[in-house]
Amino acid sequence: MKCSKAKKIFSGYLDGELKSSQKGFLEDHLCTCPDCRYELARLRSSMELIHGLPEVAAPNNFWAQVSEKIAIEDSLKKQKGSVKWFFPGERLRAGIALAAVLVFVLGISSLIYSSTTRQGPRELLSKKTTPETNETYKLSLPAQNVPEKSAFTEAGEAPASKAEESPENNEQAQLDKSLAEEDNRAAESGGGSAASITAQNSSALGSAKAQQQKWIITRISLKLKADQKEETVARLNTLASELGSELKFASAQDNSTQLELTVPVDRASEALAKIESLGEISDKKQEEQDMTEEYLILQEQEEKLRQEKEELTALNNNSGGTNEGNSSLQEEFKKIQPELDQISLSIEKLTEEMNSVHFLISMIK
Amino acid sequence: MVGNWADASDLSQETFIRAYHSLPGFRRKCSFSTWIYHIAVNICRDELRKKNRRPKISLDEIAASSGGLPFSETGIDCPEDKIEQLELQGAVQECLNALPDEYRLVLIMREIQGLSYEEIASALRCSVGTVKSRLSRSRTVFKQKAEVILGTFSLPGTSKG
Repeated sequence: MKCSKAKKIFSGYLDGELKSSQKGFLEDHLCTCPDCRYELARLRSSMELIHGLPEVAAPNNFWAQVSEKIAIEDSLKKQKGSVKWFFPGERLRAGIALAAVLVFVLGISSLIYSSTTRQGPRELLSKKTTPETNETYKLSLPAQNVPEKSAFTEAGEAPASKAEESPENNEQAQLDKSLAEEDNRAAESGGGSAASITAQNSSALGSAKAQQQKWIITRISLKLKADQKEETVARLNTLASELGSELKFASAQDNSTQLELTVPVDRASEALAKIESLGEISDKKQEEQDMTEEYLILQEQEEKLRQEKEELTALNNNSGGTNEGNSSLQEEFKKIQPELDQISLSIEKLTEEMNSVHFLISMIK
Repeated sequence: MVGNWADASDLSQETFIRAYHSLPGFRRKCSFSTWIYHIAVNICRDELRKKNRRPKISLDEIAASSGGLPFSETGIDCPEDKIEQLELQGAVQECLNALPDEYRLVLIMREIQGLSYEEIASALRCSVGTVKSRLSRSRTVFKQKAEVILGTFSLPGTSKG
């Protein structure tokens, strides 16, 4: 046996895994070859070095950690699973409808943010306007037509034609209807008690009308010259939050700052006075805007969104894990997975949008 | 296998977690322990692949390279022979770390875990012949590394002649 061939089977020899014939040949060779004996001994010794390595113990809390991690992964998986099986079938359409609502809401809010002329909602309103609503219409005209005090002026007679837009008005229409029925019944029976009920209802109707308010805001843009800029900015911010208004710093040069302030109309003069105390005001522009329609639309929108969200959340919670084991269904779901992901995304956006709508409402108030 | 205690501990945990999750896939083609080894091997390979992409230096390695001992092993008062022993172990570990991953893998499974060729083959999903030849080569390479790194190491009963 050659040395090179012998060296190739040293490893198997150490492991006792050689065939008896091979083992015999190798042992014969080793007897005659001191070099190979030496090599084999060194190989064996080097392996003993490895055996000398200490056994490393697992940390004491090893199993506790393992089971904890498994528990965490399981709970994560469950959550993930419920997202994965996000409302199947017809619920998909609900999601798409929701996405459409989202687009609508986006449109509305950008309208409110950007428009000073407010062509859109005005046109919308004028189509629905009947002669009786002229008064309201006038009230919604900008600045000069609005009496100074009328921050949240009562609108008086609520326009019946706006019933589609306003939930309160819907309620009122129903109330009218029921009143009429009551009247009929009262007329039929001629009873005194029925008449008194009608009277009560009438007063309830009166208070419902009283709740119908105008939401008017004032947009003020001005240049403020102040010496201590940082302090002034801090004060302005405090002022804005006190007044429940929105404040924007459009531009700043040296110690003069271009400000844009949106504030409830009854607090406009107060706001201006306070700003005036901070520094020198120039280039003042002031404009009032009736936000009632927007407010009503937004309010309705918010209610709708809230309901949609509740519904979807309920569906989402119910759908978790109910479809396991149905492989053909799962296949189908895999196909629509991208769409579902898209909808989840839409809902996220929608939630954000809802928050901004909510902010707008509180601002208009 | 991965050269430091913290990683080894994490990867062992990972092994059992993965084993737990893939328990339904265990087909009893091999013994349970071999199956666990198989999972551990895959996890080690993944980890080593990651490590090779962006090598990190552990505190233990810094200590070792500056001639110190791994932090976990520094005792307050060590007798001299104990220190020598620890140094030798560190050097052996270094030799092992210097091996290609796949060589180190079979060597550890055979020499430390004491697995049979069949068990190793099953865990690595390769043939017994492959195990045999890979083991032979890794022993030879390890011996060479040991001779370089432990230049002075005296092997018992190896006087030539």
